[in-house]
Amino acid sequence: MSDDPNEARFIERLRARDERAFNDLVKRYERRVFGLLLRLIGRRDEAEDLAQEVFVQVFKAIGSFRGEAKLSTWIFRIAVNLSKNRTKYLARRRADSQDHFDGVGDEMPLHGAKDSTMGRIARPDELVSGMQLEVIVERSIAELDAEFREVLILRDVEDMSYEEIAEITGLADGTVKSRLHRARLQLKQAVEIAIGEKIG
Amino acid sequence: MTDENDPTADRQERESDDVEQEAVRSILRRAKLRHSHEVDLLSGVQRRIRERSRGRFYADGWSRRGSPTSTYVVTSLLMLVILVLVYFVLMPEIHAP
Repeated sequence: MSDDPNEARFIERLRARDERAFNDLVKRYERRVFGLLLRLIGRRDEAEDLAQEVFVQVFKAIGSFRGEAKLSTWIFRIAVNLSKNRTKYLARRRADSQDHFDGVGDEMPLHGAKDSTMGRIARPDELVSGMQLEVIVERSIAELDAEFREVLILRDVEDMSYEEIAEITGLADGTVKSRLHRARLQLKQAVEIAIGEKIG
Repeated sequence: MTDENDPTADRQERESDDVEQEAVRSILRRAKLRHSHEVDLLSGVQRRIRERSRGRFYADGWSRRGSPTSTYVVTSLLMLVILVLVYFVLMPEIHAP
């Protein structure tokens, strides 16, 4: 069980399905859960929908929470697992719609494509000068492999310990560290290329 | 890979990790990425739970609010105002000859 008596009492109230305790839980964690999901998925509407789903799952499963991990760690584990499922679902949907567009492309005459593609891609110099660092970093994080992005966000944005990250992701400590190392290198390189200068 | 029994290699690896961590965190700070996002999920979560539990949870309006304290205070003040009004309306009639 939790060492903190306040947290233990709070968990007991949650187990008893005390609605006011659950309201407090949502208020306490909504920003962090939403922020984490927003960075993992990259879409506000999806992140908000999924964050609500996380709390519904917490409400349903609180009876099975044994208190071996911290409550926050357990909630983040649910969030990370749901985000993995949603990311797969979104990727499948994108692939399906891509198949659909590929088909359309085969059927459409070439002159029909002229207006829809011309001028869409900005020149690199315009891109860099027009973008703020925040956008560059957000984009660079979004382009990381999902498994790297996950550990980078948990460690460097959410400030979690290696042990917590290992519990949340179900990875071994060593794997967390090596993924984090590669994630940081990838991010640093991507940002340096985008802004055209060395960092750190 | 680092030899687990080699303390020098271990220290070097830790130092290199620290440098790397500081570089990335400085990027994140400059990009203001470590700020929290404004969001209000409570009503949506309560609605989902109410629907999925078929009204077993969050069925009444009181439990749907974050804290009912302000509602209690407003209701009490309203009752006091009504009592005072009733008192002043009835007073003349009681003291009338």
